[in-house]
Amino acid sequence: MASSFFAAKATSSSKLTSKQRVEPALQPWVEKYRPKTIDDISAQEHTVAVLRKTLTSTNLPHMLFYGPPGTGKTSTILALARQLFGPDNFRNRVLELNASDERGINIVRDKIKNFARQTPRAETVASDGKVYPCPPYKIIILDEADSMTQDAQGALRRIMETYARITRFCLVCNYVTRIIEPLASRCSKFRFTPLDSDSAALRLSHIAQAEEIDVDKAVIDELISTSAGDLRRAITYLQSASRLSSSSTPATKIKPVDIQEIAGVVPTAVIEDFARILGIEVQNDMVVDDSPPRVDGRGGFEPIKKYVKFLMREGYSATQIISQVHDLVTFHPTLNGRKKSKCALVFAEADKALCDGADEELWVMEVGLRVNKAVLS
Amino acid sequence: MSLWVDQYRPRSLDALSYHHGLSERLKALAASGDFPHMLFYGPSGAGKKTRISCTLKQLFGSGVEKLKIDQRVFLSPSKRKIEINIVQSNYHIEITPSEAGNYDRVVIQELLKEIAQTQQVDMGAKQRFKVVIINEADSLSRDAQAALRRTMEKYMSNMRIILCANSTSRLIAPIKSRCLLMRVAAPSEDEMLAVLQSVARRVGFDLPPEAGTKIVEDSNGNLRKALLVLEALKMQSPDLTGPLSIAKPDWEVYCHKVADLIVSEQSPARVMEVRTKFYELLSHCIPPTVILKTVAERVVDKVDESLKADIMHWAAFYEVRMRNGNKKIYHLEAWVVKVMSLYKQFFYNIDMSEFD
Amino acid sequence: MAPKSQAQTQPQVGKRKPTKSSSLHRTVRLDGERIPSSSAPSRMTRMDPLTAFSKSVTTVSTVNKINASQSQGQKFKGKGKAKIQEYESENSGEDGQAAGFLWVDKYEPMTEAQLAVHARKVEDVRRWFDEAFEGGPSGKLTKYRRILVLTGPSGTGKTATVRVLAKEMGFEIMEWKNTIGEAQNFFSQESNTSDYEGLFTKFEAFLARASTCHNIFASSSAQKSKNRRIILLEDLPNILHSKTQTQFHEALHALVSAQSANPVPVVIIISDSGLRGEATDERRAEAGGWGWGKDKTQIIDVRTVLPKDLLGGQFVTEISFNPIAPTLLRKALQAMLSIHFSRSSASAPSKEVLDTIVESANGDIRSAIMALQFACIIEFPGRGKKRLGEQRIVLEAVTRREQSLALFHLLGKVLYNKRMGDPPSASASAKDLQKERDIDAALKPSVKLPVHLHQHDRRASRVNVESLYADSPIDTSLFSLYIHQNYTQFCNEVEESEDLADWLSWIDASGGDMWYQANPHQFHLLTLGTLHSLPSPVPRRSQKYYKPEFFGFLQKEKDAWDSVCATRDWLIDDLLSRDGSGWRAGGWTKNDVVLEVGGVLKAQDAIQNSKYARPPPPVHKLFSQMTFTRTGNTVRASQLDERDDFQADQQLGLDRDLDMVSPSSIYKMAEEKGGWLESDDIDEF
Repeated sequence: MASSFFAAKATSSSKLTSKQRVEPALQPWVEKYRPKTIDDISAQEHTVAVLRKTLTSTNLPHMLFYGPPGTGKTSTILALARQLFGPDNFRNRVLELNASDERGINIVRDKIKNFARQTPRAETVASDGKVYPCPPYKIIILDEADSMTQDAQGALRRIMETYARITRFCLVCNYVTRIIEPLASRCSKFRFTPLDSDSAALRLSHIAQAEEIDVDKAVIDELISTSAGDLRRAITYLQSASRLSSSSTPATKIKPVDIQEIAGVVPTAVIEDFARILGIEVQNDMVVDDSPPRVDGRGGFEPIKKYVKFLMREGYSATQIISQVHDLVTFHPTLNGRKKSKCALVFAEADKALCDGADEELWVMEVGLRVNKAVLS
Repeated sequence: MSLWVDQYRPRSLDALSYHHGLSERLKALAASGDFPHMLFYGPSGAGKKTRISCTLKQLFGSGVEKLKIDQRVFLSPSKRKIEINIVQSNYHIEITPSEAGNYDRVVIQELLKEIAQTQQVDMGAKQRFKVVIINEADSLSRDAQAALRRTMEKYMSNMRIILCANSTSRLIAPIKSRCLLMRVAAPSEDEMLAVLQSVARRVGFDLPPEAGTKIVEDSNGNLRKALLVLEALKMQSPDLTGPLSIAKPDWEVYCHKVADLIVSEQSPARVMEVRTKFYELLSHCIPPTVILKTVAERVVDKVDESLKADIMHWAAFYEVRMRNGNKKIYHLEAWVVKVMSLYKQFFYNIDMSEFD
Repeated sequence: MAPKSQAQTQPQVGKRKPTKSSSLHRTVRLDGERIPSSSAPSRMTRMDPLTAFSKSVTTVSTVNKINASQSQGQKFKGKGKAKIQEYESENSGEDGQAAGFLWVDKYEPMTEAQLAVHARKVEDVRRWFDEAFEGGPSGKLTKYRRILVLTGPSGTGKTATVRVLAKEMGFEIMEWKNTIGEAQNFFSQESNTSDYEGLFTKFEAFLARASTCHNIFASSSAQKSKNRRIILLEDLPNILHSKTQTQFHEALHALVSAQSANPVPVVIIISDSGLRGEATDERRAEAGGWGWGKDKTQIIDVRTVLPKDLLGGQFVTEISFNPIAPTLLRKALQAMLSIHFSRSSASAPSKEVLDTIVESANGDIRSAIMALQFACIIEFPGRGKKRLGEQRIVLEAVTRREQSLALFHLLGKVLYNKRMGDPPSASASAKDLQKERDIDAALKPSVKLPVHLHQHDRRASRVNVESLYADSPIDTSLFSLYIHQNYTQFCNEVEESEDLADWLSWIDASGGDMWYQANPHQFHLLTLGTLHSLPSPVPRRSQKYYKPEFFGFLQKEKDAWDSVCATRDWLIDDLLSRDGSGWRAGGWTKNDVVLEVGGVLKAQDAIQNSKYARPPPPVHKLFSQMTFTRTGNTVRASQLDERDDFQADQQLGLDRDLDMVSPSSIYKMAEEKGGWLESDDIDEF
């Protein structure tokens, strides 16, 4: 996704860049710990293996990177470009465009035209003494390409042909199906998979070490589970958490609860209570519940209504509640498939409704009532 | 003199009477010099804006209380005029872009760019950045949110954004991930009662506990509403003794009576009557969702247990329709007809079983 | 359209003898300079469509044959709208003498008697002019009669009335014309506004000169008392452009506030075309948040043309014109025909043709005359019944757009939900019965549905949805409002309305926000859904149709929102007035104000001594006060009448403000006898 750091460099608005350099403390860790080489990329072994070959041959095809957010798509192409051109040429060889930001294809075309016009300087020996391949083309990175309109993508196809000799395109997107076929067929496609927890944990503890913050395994696990394979989110949460903990007067250690709060996650206990009221059995493996057993759930309208009101008053987000209840139901050990399917239908409807901007209370209520009905059926 | 809710609003983080943990965090963040973008969310009347204001004061000192209100005019791409009220001090600026309807993107882009490019003038300022408060952030269009997202990255060095929203559901993930999330839950009933009593003390009267409890129960976690009710009540009967009837706003009473209409008779003629009542409510600017929820809750209270879930289901169902459609009355009415039909069939079935 | 070259050539107005209208009417050019009209009204060249006065048409034609192209150019400049058509080639035959002239211009009314406008309307306008010049009975009204706004659908004789009265009462019309071509305006608005503002400056200059500098225009000072004039603004500056609109409003303010012993009254004519059916709800933009609001103010109507304070103020009078009644329309057309064919070898079109034209004109006299002229040009070979159908087809082709089913009948067809084999109604005539049998014979009986769908079994419908769609006078959005307003009467039980209510809801919610995402099948779905849901046969209890209450309440809501803003401003002002520490002044959202402040405001109003610096604005009652009454049926919407609405002026004048629906859509031939009953037995065609 977007990296203003590099974009700023590329578009020579150096004022901001210098400022950001001055304050490394403020720099987002996501930028600070971006992989420098493609070998640093976490967990995308296949892609990295293929790309490493292109480094040696220096012949790069057009590329299409797709996969869920936070899996290292942008990092990969930036690292690759860095390795190809070196720090000196990087700036005038790489153009990063955010497709959803620069809406009109005309703007994109102009930028590309201007960018392609500048003749690349080819100093193969860089200031840091290393030798970079520095192939004779420029790289244009189109971030969020799937949010371009069909028309814009069509126009892009022409642009790609026009500048084929001096540029290589790298389209980065979440959903490959939203890229029109003619465009997709011109690119070699690389799929990025969600990070497995081990590599994510490795990376997170590496960052924690570098920042000299004390995190234990529980926190790392919490980070990984709340971010669901999205490394960027995990790193952002970690940064926020460390910011909070370090700013409190006796600097406190980061606790898993903090992570939940930062991520906007509803505490597990709250969700479990809700589930009990809905009539779902929740086994308490970690019995920290010192409070008296709450409403055991044979459901009923009033208790559900009351609990939903409580959830709303606490300010939890409806999408979050529903997705957590969804997880709980879907992975539930004893509910049978039929019941789960019925519930799944409700979750889907509720998600659509909330996307349309529906009222949160009504829909959490609806989910509650219908899950209750499904479970008791 | 102004409304008590404004007059006795806490002005510093220390003066806040509940969510102390949150206040501590905010204080620490303000002091750390590493102040992030923030997103305050929680139900309305929980005290989000109060906390934002207090945080600002913590950041900049009492200078932020010197406010002025401007009206700014923006031009939409089609050269339409968009007028937006802007509240600002030397250190911060507060906007409600959703007032610009679908041109909120223009407002966000123009205004933020402008603020970001002007440096803090006041050399004595405690912070090098200005703060932009964006109200009703959850009603920003997707376009505006995308624009905001880019701005947040670009101008981090001399601007911080504080978003204020009722819920995070409608915010796009990149914005959420760029902000530090601050959940402001509604105060508990005890906390609310304490606030009411302290306000009463400052005004100079004693709030009988039973009156206080009644107000608190009635306001459903909305402290602002509770304070307004208290003030209205005090105006109505200055001694606050005797049988207190909590003066509900007219629209709420009206909604309840509409619910009674629905339950008492089910016929096409009654549908017409209810429709006129809905029209009245709508023409008094009551948001249709609020109408639907208020009426539905009342109806649900009055019907058999077995009907309740269905009534709420249809309420949720038609509420979404309402969001997608134009003419709110259709959807409200469709719900009413549905409920009437359900209710009638329910009684019909009872009658039949009695015959058997 | 006229060839470009003609349109662009500057017409040499001075040379041409017969100016567009009488000598009293002068055209003022955009630079404010008056074009000298012909010295004397030597020959009246215009004919009136309404009378049989025969004037010497031949004199016109001679001039016109010479200046055929010129006159076209002139007319393009003069009237602007779609009046220029290339006629020369087509009517070279017996119509030749009038070549190049549109009947609309040729037979323009000259006296009040010739106007097809209802006499009372004319009287209203006349009284206004009278008061403006003479001050009315008290002699003091001059001060307040500054701006007259004439509104109504196009072709209802607004301009003609003013011109006729100008002649009769002897005042001069100074008219503003936007002389820059439409296209140019468009571009200048898009790219840079300087061009357009240039035009506006000229407009201001025009206004200033026309309203103040008497002596420039007065032919002699001695005549001054008799020399009355008005400013006519029909061709308005582009008020959709916000800056121009502001300027325009300012100009009007200046005009009204100017202290002048002898002010020049201003007449503004606004044709509210394209307004009907704009039934979108603004609430979306206000509260919907997530979705896109709709751009609502892009319509020219009285509210955009006039600033709000003026509109409600004492200086502005609004008179709205209704569509011309069929009787009056027919009389006018017949009179015109009798003049036209008195000197012609050709025979006038048959009565049937006239009927079709009157029927399809929908109260728009201009389009009726155009259609009539066209009908006289195309030759219908032979007469008799055989030809009649052919003529009809041709005419329908000409007037298709206007060929509309009266709304009243449209509703009847849909809501009465007639199906094959319905028992005939008690009062149906033999002819009607036969007609029903014919329809049934043409219908295919519906196929029996499988058992699990038996609840959807219906007999075949007698309603042809396609032809309804083609002939509907209103758009789907408005049509759905009418259905919504009236359907409950056609249901006995609440279950019967369940499906219909759901259809309405679903159709409204279908499709996306953008225009290109709109559901293209809305009309069909609405009609079919309604037919499918209604009981069959529907109960008959001589139901009456009502106009939607929607618009009235929408307007109320808009006013209430204004009051919400006023109240919020009051809250904020109150805060700021406390010495310099306006704490959290931006904190009140509109919804907070609506939902929560009501109680305090009410209590505040109840007690006498206010503790506030200034009392809350009294308008807050618009949103904060609601009394629940069970006698609620008094707010009933006004009835939709079969013979509706050209006679009951007063009533409709009020309605028009409430529901912005053009009354033309709810209009029906007057010959038909009125009454409610059996309105369902409508002629099929």
